[in-house]
Amino acid sequence: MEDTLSKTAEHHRDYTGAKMGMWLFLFTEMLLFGGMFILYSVYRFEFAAEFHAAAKELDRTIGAVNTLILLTSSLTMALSIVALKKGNKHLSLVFQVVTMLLGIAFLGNKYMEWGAKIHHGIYPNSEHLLSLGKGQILFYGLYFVMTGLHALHVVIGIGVFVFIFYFTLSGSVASDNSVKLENSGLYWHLVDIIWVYLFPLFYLIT
Amino acid sequence: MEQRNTGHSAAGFKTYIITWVALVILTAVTIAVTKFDTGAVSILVALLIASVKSGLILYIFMHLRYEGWFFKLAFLLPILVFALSVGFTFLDVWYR
Repeated sequence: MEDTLSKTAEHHRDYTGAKMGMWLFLFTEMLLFGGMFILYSVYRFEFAAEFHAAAKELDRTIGAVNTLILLTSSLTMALSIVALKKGNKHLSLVFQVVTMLLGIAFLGNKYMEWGAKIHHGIYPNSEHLLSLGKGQILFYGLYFVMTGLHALHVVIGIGVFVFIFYFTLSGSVASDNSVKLENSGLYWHLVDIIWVYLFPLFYLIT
Repeated sequence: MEQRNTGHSAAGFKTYIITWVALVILTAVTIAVTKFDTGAVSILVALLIASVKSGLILYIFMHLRYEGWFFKLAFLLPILVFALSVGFTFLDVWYR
């Protein structure tokens, strides 16, 4: 009896259910960041001049490079699914590794960027930051929280891909059963979408 | 057992690479626009382009294009919730 059950469980796949669950989770993620974007827009409305001054201090080049890195990682993610569907497991694994490496490159950039800010005395509750205006304090507070939470999502994404890489290698993720890879891809793309909004709001609109 | 054909094979490497090129070009346009104009127009343009970019990511990279009507409609739900939240928040901020 137990044997039959486990066998059924093993073979039972619910593609639509798995996708639905993932999308529902992504909806909560959208609203999590959505709330922060509302907070940002209210304070931007209230402290327009100070946000303007603070945003000028952010490095557009690092922001642009990180945008390019994340967009490219989204591409390699999508390509890894195509490769797997076409039955090219090796190529799929290569694309997965490239995606992870791009994620790590993004984090490296973020580390340098934050490091420079902290070096200049700009970090939450720092003396220098507290000596600035209310709007600037709010801007940097939002900057550290929003890009920090986003970076945490990138870290989690890379962690997920480590498992997916193993699953693909061992064959439990394969061309006829790729929903795990696809759902991890959905997560990765959503993290990309959030950055698509973070980049102009913090780095470009000054 | 039953594995529904997801139809993802419809998109090949080429579609994704073209989408990526479009995303990179749109990013460059945003950077250029915000460099020259710092008024409310550039905010609007930047957000509009960001929305086009996320639309492309959702529709093509995230396969929304190949999903059934349920996924396409369900996606509108968080957008609606977000829009309502923004609307009511700013009703409060503006008329306080």
